[in-house]
Amino acid sequence: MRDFDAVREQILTLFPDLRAAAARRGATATGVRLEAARDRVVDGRLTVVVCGEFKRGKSSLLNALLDEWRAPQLFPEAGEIATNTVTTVSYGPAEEITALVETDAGTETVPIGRAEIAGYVTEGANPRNGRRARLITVETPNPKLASGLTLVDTPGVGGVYQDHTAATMAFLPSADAVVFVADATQPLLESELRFLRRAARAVAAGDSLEALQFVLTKTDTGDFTAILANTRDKIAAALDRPADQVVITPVSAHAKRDYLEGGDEEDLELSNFGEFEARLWTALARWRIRRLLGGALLELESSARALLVPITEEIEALADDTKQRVADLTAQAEQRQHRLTELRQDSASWRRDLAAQTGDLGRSLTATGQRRLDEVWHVFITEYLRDDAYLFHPDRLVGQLTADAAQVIGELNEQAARAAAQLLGDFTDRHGLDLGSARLGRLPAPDVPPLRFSGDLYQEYRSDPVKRRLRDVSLGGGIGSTVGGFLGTLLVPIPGVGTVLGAALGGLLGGTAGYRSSRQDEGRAERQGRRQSLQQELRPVEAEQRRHVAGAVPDLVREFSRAMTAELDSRLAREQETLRDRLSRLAAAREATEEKARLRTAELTAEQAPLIAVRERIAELTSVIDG
Amino acid sequence: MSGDLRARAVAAFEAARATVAPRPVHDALTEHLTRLTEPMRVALVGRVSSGKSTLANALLGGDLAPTGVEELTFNVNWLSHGPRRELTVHFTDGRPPSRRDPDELTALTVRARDGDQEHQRLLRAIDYLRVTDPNPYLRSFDLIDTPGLDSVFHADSQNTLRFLGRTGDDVRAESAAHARKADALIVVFARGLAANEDEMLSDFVGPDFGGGGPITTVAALTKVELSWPQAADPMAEGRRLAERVMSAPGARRLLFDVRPVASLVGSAAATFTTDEYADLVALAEVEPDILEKRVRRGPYFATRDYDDLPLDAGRRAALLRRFGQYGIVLACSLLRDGIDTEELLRTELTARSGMTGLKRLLVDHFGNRGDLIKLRGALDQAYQLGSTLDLRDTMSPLLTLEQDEHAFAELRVLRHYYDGGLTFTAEDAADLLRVTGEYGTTAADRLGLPSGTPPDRLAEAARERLAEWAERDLDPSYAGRSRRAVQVVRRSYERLATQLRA
Repeated sequence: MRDFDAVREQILTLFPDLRAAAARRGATATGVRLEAARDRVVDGRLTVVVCGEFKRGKSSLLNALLDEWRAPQLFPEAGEIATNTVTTVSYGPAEEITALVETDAGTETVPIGRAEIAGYVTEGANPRNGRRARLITVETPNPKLASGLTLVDTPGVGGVYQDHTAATMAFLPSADAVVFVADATQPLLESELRFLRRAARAVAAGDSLEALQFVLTKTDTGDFTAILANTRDKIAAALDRPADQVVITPVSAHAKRDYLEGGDEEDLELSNFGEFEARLWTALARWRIRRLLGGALLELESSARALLVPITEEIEALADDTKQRVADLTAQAEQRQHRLTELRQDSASWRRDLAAQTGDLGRSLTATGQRRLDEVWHVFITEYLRDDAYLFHPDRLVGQLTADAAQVIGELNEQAARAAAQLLGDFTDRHGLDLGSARLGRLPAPDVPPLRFSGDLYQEYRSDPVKRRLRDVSLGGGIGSTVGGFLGTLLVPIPGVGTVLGAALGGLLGGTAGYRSSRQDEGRAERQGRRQSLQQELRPVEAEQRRHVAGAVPDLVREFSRAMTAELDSRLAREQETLRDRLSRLAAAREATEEKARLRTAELTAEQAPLIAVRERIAELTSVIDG
Repeated sequence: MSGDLRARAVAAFEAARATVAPRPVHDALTEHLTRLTEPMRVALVGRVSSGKSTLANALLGGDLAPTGVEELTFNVNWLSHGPRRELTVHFTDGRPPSRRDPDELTALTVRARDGDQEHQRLLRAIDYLRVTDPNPYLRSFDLIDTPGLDSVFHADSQNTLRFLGRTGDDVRAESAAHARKADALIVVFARGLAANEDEMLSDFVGPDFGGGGPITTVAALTKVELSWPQAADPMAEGRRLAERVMSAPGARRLLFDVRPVASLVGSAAATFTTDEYADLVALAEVEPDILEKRVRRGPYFATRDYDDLPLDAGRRAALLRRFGQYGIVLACSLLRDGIDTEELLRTELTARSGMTGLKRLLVDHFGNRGDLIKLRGALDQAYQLGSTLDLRDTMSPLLTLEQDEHAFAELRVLRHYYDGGLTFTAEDAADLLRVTGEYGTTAADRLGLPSGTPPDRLAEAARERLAEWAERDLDPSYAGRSRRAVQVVRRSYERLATQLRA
């Protein structure tokens, strides 16, 4: 974590100099891109989703992770069963907590104090969630969160409130790390392993398996070697991995709290939070941090080059008294200008090509989505209908199917995001749109940046912190879409995409609401008969799901396509700006006398020195995160 | 319930059996008949590792059921009273039951982790394990320890359900299984692991557990000791949670009561050795704050050397395994407070663990109505035989029995009361429970008077009650089902008064 913080801080120190240089030079587009890139680092979220069954110790784990132990706690513990709400915690300069509450008219966001959290999320204070709390959003000046860590606490996995399970499943693929919580006092249940299998699939849709972390809590009660082995074997069997590849971190949140209270090092040692945090950050570093910080370094590098190239060209031009060099460089720049004018036109061929490519992506995602739904409904026949827990609880069954379909949508979203990043990279190479921003080291293709450019980009970049995006979330389409939308803004950086996901979720949930309680009260019927009638009865649900998934894909692809076009237009604008600078400097160089050239070269050498230094720092930092 | 009822019931079933030729109805009735003379069967059911086996051990004060942190019980263990400790294995594949050395119980119950194929096959073929033991508590009823209902090894759950007679498409298999099903259930909840109390209960409603109801179901909330040290008094915390469970909608229709138990403490209390007692005495010398600090760090308490702790780590580890953290701290605090013999410590720990209360509840609730509950179950199953075949002549003596026995009318009233279908006041309900034998079956118990009350005082009390209920019978605020219930209770007092006059 400290490594990440340090590198992040150093990267942030590089921005002011470059932005000042851009401002001096009147390089507005470069300045705007730098500002946006800096905001992305500052706002950049590393989302860690914590999931597990009720009473496994999730709240204690999160409190301990945040060094929170004084009452009132962010995650109320006590003997209470937590109500089924999603809680997100991220950094804010002052503590601000809001509860999203469902009302008869829709939803309402209520600012609350820390002491009021328990009144919303515990079963004791809010029995059966009578207050209809759906999401608690916490911003707090906790230093552990300062670098952009967002923790998402999810309801238990076997829960009755399926909306939240569905929302959780939909956003798992976008999470940067998922922590699955087991505990040392009770072996994992079949229902939890079933959830784990699904979660692993969702995570794998996004990231490497390392993003899925396992902890065994409550290890302070005694010898936990047997239960640790038991848990490892079960997880290994559930995920079909060799047991020695399943790493479970034993932790004790209570020991951590004892340490925070009493300062005894032995408690800290027993808590094992040092190891837990180290593993968590390793998992985050493996993919997300490289993309987050790598993206910033790429932008710094290309901006530095955009500012540097006109100067170095001018120096080169001035150095050649035959004026041959200036003629060559001017010819090159003019040629590029010609090409750029073509590229910036609305009729440019790359725009058609991008439309065609995203069309292909949409078709392939649609096919994937339908294939995944085939699987879901195959499992429905082969597993769920054979399980009394579903067969005799049709509400649970429908809830499960809804969560499964929500997961499919989440996977599609993540695949779309990955494909879009890849597409942007390939496309840039193919159409010569890279404009001097060479790839750095072996860093992965950065995300498609969530830029909101429209019209004249010179004025249009708006800083878009997460908090405001949260407020912008559309509240239409039912509670599923609202919770989905909120989570979407946290977990999916592209504006609009979270809302698309939320709307798709809302549709899924709305479509099944009518099936909630039918058959619920029927007495025992013969199993085969029930199977047949449920199959019959749920056929419209399947059709509905297919419609929603098919409908969500074009919306998703459209949002990504917009973001990609905005990014490419922005790059073209920056190059236009650089070219203008290049051409005017070359024109000046052509006219320069020998004496003037000498003075000017000295001036330019002084001007380029800090830019060269910045590029060296960029290279160093690249090798640190590329390491 | 009186021996008379049992005799009349046996006569009715014999009469019914006489109407049919051997097989299959005849055999089924024979099985019911046998059951009527056997002790009541109480099954422990719950999710995996909810602490059923630990609870069984705590109830029986022995180590009859193997325990551990993992899901251990692979097979159904049927514990019943007998002169000697004996183990018989019953198989699913038609093999005759085989007698085994009781020491093999663990090997036959616990899932073989890396066991060889042969052993695994043997385990899978086991239907249930019958263990007899001279433990006096088993005189009240047989105790059936089951695998968890939610196990990763699906076969376990199937075993439980089959044993309880609740699965199987095949009618014959079903009715045979029904005949073997338990008469009453102790539902075991571990604290937590559900969204809320409704969810917790929902494991026990539906097709697999429906129909039992409060008359035949009580619940234990186990692992309460684990809320230490976050809760200084885990039993108080447990009582609070138990109250929440009982206040959940539908809970009272499902369960008679939920009792919190620190079953690990209870189990250790029942079985600790003189050496263990000595170790606890040594630990009780330690400054309480230091002891608590060390015990809180469980794994280190069990493995590390400390200058401020007396025993070596191995002995501490053994105590921790047996008593748990709370058990050690509690025992030491009791010893510091003046408890000075093994027996006193045993008694006090048993009481503090909630086991004394739970045991009393089980004897009161199940023991006192055992015959009636069994008979009710036997009748219901016998009637099911009649649902597919025309057995009017066969059913006739059974229907007559049900008609004539006032106890069945009482049972019906109790059901209605638990279903919330009666407009009884708290006072009415207390009378109802008492007179129908909830707190004991002697006349004094049924009148709520101390034992040893002279007969004329008892008779007088019965007449008073009778007069009060006769008044209620005229009270227009009792209507419909409640009114009929009043009449049944009135009749119960009438019978009691007559019996006391005689």
